[in-house]
Amino acid sequence: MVAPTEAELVQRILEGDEFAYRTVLSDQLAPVTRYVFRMTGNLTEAEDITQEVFLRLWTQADRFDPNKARLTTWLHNIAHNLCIDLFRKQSRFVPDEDIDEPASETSDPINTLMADVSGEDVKRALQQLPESQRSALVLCYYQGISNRDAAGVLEVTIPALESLLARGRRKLRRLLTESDQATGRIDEH
Amino acid sequence: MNTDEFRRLIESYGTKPANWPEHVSAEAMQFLQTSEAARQIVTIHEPLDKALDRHEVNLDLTRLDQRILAQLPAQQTHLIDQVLAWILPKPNHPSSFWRPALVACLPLVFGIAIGSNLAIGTDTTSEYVDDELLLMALQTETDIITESLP
Repeated sequence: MVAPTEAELVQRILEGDEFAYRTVLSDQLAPVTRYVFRMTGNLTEAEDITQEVFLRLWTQADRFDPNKARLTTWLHNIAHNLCIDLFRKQSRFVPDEDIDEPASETSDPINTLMADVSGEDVKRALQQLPESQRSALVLCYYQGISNRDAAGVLEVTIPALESLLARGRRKLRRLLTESDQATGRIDEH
Repeated sequence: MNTDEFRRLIESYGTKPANWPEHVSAEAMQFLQTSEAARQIVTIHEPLDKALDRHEVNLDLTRLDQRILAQLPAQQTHLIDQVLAWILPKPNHPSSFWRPALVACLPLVFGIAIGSNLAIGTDTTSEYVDDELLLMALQTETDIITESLP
């Protein structure tokens, strides 16, 4: 039996087919929740936003255009916008600055420091990135979304996405090495 | 691909080939195998990817899944759409045969009901004419008898 396409599934959701909705939910719930959790760093907020994303899938499925984007891109785009709304509401929005981080071409000391970085350190450092850089990094690195789709989620061009990624990675690298130095781990090496 | 292009690729997408854009992936892999400078770039950037991998997210989504399904509102569709959806279900739906047949029979059922109650087309006027003629005939007969009496 041929699996229904995304367009067919969404059409069935529009007609009130709960089975089609459950199919999309089981496929997309985990990636969308993980994306929102990495964006907000808070489980309760992640669950609330994810719930709103899937509520919109049920009530606003007619806005999905299969010719413009994949379903996962559309859902991630809704999640991204809801995250930005939340950050603005809580005055947590960090706009993307044009100041570029200096590129590091040395490896040894930084690599030694990076070996001691924990998952919690990374989570904290991610929260300090501007939203667009964090989102670009999460989408391309953790979510495994293609650069074209990630650019679609952020509503930017591919070169702009690559710029966000490069700046985000540089800043993250600096934040992680700074946090390591601050906790005195450099002294151990 | 040259060293600068490779550096830009790694600075944006990291050192994991799975995260590289599809259209440059094969070329970049080939460059990595042949270039010492490319391998040095990877060595510089690899620790950040290893650090990023330590941020794992393990979520129990069962509760959230149930919460989403429980709070699902009814679809807001027009009455006419609901009626049409009932009459013409999807082809694989078990009711896809009998519902259209039932709807097609409705005019016939209405016709029979109306026809049996209103009895349209039955000609009752001729009965009244016959009755009147009979009454007139009886009247005439009575007059003749009355006149013939002394």
